[in-house]
Amino acid sequence: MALLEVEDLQKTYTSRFGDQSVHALAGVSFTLEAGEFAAVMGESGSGKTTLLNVVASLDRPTAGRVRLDGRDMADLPEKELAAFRRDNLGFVFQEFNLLDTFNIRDNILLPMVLAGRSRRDMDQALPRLAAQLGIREILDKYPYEVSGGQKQRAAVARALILSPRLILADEPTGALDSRSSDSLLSLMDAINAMGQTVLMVTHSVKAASHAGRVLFIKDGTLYHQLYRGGEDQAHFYGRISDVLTALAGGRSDG
Amino acid sequence: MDKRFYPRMAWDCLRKNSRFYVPYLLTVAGAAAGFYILATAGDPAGMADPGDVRAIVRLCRVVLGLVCCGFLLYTNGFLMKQRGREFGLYAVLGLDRANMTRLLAWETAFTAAIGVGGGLAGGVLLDRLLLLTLAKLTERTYLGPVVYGRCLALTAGVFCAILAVIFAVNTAKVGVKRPADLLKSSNVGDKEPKARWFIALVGAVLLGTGYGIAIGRPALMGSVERGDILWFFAAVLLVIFGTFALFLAGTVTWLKLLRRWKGYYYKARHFISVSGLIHRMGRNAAGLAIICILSTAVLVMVSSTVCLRIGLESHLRQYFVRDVMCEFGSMVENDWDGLLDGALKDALAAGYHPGEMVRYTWWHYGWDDESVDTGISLYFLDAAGYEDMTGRQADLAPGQVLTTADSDTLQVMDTTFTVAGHLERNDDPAAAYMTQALGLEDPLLQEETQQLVVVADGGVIAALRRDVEDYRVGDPDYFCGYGTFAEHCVDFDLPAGEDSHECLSVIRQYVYDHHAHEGSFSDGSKDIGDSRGDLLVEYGSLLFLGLFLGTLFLGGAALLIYYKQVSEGYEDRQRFAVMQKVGMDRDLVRRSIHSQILLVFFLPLVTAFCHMAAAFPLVARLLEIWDMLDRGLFLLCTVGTAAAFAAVYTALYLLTARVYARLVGQ
Repeated sequence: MALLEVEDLQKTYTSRFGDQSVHALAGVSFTLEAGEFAAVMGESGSGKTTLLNVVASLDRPTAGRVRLDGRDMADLPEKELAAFRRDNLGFVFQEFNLLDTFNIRDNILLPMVLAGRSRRDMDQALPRLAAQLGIREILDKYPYEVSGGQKQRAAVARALILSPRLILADEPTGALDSRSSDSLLSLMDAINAMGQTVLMVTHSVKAASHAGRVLFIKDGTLYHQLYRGGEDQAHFYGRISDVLTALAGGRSDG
Repeated sequence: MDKRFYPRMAWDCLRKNSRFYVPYLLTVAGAAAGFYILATAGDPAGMADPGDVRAIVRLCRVVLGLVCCGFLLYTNGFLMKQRGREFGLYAVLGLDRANMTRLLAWETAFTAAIGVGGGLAGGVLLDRLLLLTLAKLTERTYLGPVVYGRCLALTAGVFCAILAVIFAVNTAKVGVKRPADLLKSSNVGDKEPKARWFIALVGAVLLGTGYGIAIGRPALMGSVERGDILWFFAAVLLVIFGTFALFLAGTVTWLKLLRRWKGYYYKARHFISVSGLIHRMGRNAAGLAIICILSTAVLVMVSSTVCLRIGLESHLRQYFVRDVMCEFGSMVENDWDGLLDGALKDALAAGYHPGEMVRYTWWHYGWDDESVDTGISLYFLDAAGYEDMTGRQADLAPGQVLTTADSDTLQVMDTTFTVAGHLERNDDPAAAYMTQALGLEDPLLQEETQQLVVVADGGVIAALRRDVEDYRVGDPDYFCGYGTFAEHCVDFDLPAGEDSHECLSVIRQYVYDHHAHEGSFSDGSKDIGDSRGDLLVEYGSLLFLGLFLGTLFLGGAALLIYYKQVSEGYEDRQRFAVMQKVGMDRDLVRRSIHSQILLVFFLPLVTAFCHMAAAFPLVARLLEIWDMLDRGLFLLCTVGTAAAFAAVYTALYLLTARVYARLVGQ
């Protein structure tokens, strides 16, 4: 069974007086197998962030279903959603979203503390993860004291600390310089190689080329999909670019 | 460029930032108005009493000027931080430093015109209103001039100088930074405050010493003198500095200790609060300390001055059993009954309505007794007076007495009286009445050497007095230290609205005109109205100062609270959003932030209550300077003021919490 099943997802935003509505998502369906690394691409306003928010249960769909491990998120009452998100989903944001009142260590531990884990669990999980992500030296620093790349690594660590079923990344390289981007993407590769499922929204072709599959969204619908298969990254990069060009030009010949 | 460009742009800037500028302008105006009013209190043309009060007011004026300067700098700093991004944008759009200075100059000019101008207008208006209130409180008619030119000029000068300082600070700040920095300035992460053990320790020591003086000193004081106020000010200074140090360093140090205690810290409900509070306290400590000190000042000033004013009547009643207390005596015999009757008839004719009367003749006779060290005092009172004072019957023949003495007979000079009844030494209403009527420091009959002797009538007293007189004439060395006069008294109350002083004048006039003008004559009469007037001026002025400064400080505290809520609202908005994304449910986020705010908000109030409680013993003693001995009343006033203040404070919190909630977008 697929880890994530998205079925005919629709999201309509209605203006305050109900005289205008925008279809941010107009029926998107796809599935994600455990261990996959998928990227979602599309232009600004195509609905890709809405898709991520709905999958993340930060937003409720107008119609359609999202199932994680066969469980329909719509069935969860509002109260349990936060806990469900915490235990099953890990988030990485473009602007890191680290809390400036915590040092890096406490930022990473935040989900564990919220989940009520024991101190022993924390002492076990953190050093391993910190070593893996290369952030051991900055654990006692505050977010404003470290670089953007380090902040994003810390954010990834926070997303991973509870070993979630699925990592959701929203433009994770959007606020990083190219070197930090490269290093973060290889980190994602490494995480994925260890079996972690990742769904990443991006409009960087470079970032998308690290994924095993790319979903293209246009005007709220799934416009196209590319599988990398055994292809090397450079070739895949080219194919993604072609689809994007077609997407922008409004025709499909990729 | 269009000449009107800068003023117009400056005006637009103020309007766009009205959420911050309106309270800022109110602050400037309020401070200027307060300063002006305080200045008028020290003006020679004003009505403050010369000497002490005026010197105190001058001192207050200097302090208030400094406080205003610091306060406005603080609020301006907050304002400029909020506008950092705006100035960054201007810089990016091409306004250079000179342009920006011109813009700021115009803004300052508008601020001065509206803030200081409005403040002065409001000050004149408020001053008049306050004076009318004060006149009501003190029952005085002199109001002084409507506008004090010198004070207006002084206030305008001081506040323009303060605004000039702020202008210079702002210009320097805007000029130094690069546009990119300015753009970011409103959301740059604050550094985590450091734990400062030494300062925390110093703060604790200062506060402890201040508390020690306030609590320990009263026991060491004998009778209270004006100089003891210095002890109070010493304690106040220690507590102010201690509070600052503890708020600045102590809270953060304490919270960091909590954070080091991992078993406590890594729990969901402590984790966010403790870390949030460390930053909140670091940023807000100064503001919180100011709020705390202002609150304490309000509490102490209002409770003590209100207590004095409320206690005025009971204070007066310590010395006045009745509104009018006539007391006459003379060397030669007079028909005192006839004189007093005539005088009272005049008073009635003049339109006064004396209530129930207490009429008595008393004579104080004392001599040295070999057997006791101090001498014996006998207080003679006629039976009619005794009945008036106590409501008890005293049917006495001329040779009989009622007395507190234990013996069966009483020998005075050559006369021996039979004791017809014994009076309770500590519990006789007449003794209490006499104590008050004579204005004695210690209650009458507390000592074994004092006796009350009730005799049949004034004739008996007159005869005894003649004996003493003869004795004295016969033996010039004979020592009789006490009353040569028998005093003839009539005490009564007047209905409200009738002037006791005028009434006494009528009575005096009659007695002066009609008594036998031979030998010496004594007039120990007094009336409550005269003393009340004096005390009303003194206590009324104190109450006025207390309420006025209390209102001013409360206003300051309110503004600080508003600024704090707004600034925290902006900061928490982002934090709130992030926490939700990271997997905290709304409820937990809301609860955690709410509890932090509540704690930060009510910490100054609770600390102020602690300060107030510590100050209680010393302030209670200092009130003795103004003859306020009623501890129970002061406690009541203190609790009442605290309750009223807590209500106002909570109302302020609820009002500003709405602004906060809107900012956070809940």
